[in-house]
Amino acid sequence: MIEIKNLSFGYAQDDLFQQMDLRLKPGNIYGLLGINGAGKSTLLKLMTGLLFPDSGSLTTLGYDPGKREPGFLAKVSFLPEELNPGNITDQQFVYFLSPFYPNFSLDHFERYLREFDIPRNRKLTQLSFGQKKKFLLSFALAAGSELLVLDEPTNGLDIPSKGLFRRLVAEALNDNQIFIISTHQVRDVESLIDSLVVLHEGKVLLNQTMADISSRIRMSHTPTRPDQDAAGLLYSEPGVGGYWTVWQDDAAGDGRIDLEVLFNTIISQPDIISGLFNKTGESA
Amino acid sequence: MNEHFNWRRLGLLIRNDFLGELRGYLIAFAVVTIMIMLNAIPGAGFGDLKDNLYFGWFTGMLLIWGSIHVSVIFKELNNKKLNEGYLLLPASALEKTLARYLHGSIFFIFYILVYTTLVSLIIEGINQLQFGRSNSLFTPFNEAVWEVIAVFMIIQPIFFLGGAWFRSARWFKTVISVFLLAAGLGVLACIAFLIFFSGEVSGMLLGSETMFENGLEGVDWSINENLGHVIVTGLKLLFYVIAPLFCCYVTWLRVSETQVSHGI
Repeated sequence: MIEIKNLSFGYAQDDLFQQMDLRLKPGNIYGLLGINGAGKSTLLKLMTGLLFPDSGSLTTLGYDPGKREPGFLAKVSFLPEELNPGNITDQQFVYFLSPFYPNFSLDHFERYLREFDIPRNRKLTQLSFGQKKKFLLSFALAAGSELLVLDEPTNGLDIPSKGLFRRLVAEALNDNQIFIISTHQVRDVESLIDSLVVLHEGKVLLNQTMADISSRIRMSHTPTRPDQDAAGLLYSEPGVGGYWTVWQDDAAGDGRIDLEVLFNTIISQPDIISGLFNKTGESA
Repeated sequence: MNEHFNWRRLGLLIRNDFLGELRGYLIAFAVVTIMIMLNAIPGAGFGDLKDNLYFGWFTGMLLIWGSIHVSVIFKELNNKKLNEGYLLLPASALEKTLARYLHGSIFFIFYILVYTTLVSLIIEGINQLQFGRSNSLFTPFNEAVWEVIAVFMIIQPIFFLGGAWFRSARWFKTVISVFLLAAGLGVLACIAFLIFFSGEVSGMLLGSETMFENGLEGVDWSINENLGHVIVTGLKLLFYVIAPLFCCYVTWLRVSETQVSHGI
C-alpha cells in the first residue's frame, strides 16, 4: 500500500504538489500519466525515498521512504528513465547486488534474460540503451520487489521487446505487489495497466481502475464531427478517418478505452472528470 | 530485519567496494612500483644507499594518495547519474558510511603497508642479487610508520567529510576549507590568548622572548595554570578525537539526507 496525505513538495520558488492525496493498493499495475512537468518522476522519487516531501505524510509499504531503511529498500525496485548501471559486467552486477534482495530469483533472472535475448558476459556499458533497459528490467522483476517503479520503461525497446515487456510484467505481478509505470508511451502499456493515475497541476486528477473508467465512459469513432452540444459528450478529437468521441455513459459496459484519447479528455475537462469520478485520489 | 546495522550488509558493501576498485588499485600499484624501481635500483647500483627510501614512499602514498582516494570515495553520492542506484541500495546510511570509512582508512592502510613491505622485499632482493648491496627494507612495525598512520587517521575524516560534502574538486575544496578554518581558529586563538594571558603580552608584542623559542612551553603558566592546562588538553581532545568523530558524524548525516535532483 502507498498512502499519501496532504503532501506538498516544491523546488526553488515553485510548488509542484499542493495537499496531494493518493492511495495505491497492492495487486495492481498503475499507469501514471501527466503532461511534461506534471511531476510524475518527482512523485516516483518521493515514493521511493529519493526525495523528501516538504510537508504531509507519505508511507510506502508501511515505511517512511525518506528514512531509506534497508528493509524498505529491499522491497523496492526502481527502473529510472536514464540508466547508469556502471562499468561492470552483467555477472558482476548480479554478484554485487543480488545479495541485498532476499527475494531475488536467479532462475527467473536467467529466464528473463533469455526471453529478452540479452547478450551475456560483457560489460553493461557495451550494451545498447534498449539492452541495458531490458537487463535492468529483468533484474528488477527477478528481485521480487513489493514495489516496482518503472519510469518510461518502453523507451528504447524494439517492437518485439515491448510485447515481451508487457507479458513478463503481467506474469510477474502477484497480489502483494504494486507496479507503477510512468510513461508518455500510453499505447505501449494500454493493455497492461489496470488502474490509471493522472497528475495535473499539482493534484491527482484521477485515480481509478480501468474497469471503473470503462463502465462510466464510452468511446466511439465516428466518420463525421459530432455535435458539440450533444448530451453526454465529454470530448472529441480528430483521428484517422474520422473523429474520436468520448461520452459520459453510466451504462457503458466494458468497451475499449483508448488511453491517449482518455488522457486528452481528462486534461481538457479536468473539472468534469473530477466530478464524474468524485473519489479523486482514491482508487475504487 | 535490523534497519540500522547488520554485519552481513556491511561485509557485502566492503566486498563490493574492494572488488569495484581492485582494478584501479592494481594499476596504481603497478605505476608506483615502476617509480620506486626507478628510485631504488639506480641508487643501489651506482649511488648512495638510502635508509628511509620506502618509508618516504609509504608516507607519500598514505598521505597524498590516501587523501585523494578518500576525497573521491563518495563519487556516486553527488553524481546525478549515479546517486539513485547508490541511495536505493538496500543498506542503511550508517552501513554505507561505515563501509566507505573502513575502505578509506583501515583497509587502505593495510593495503599500503602490505604493498610497501612486499615491494621493498622484491626490489631490494633484486638489488642484492644484481649489485650485492641494497637499500634498507621497509619495516612496518617501525614507530615512525605508526606515527604517520596516526596522522593519516586524524586527517582522513576531514577528507572523508569533504568527499561527501563537495560535489566537485573535492580534494582542493577540502584543503582550502581546512586552511580557511585554521586561519579563522588562529585568529580566535590569538584573541583568546590576549584575553587570558594578557600578562604575557605588551601591546601587540609578546612580553617573553622565550615564547618564540619554546612555543607554548615558554608561556608562564603560573599566571593561570589551571586554565592553560585545560585549554591544551581540550585542544588535544578536539584535534585527536572530537574533530574526526564530528567529521564522520556529519558525513553520515550527509549520506542520510542526500536527495536526488527533482527531474520532473
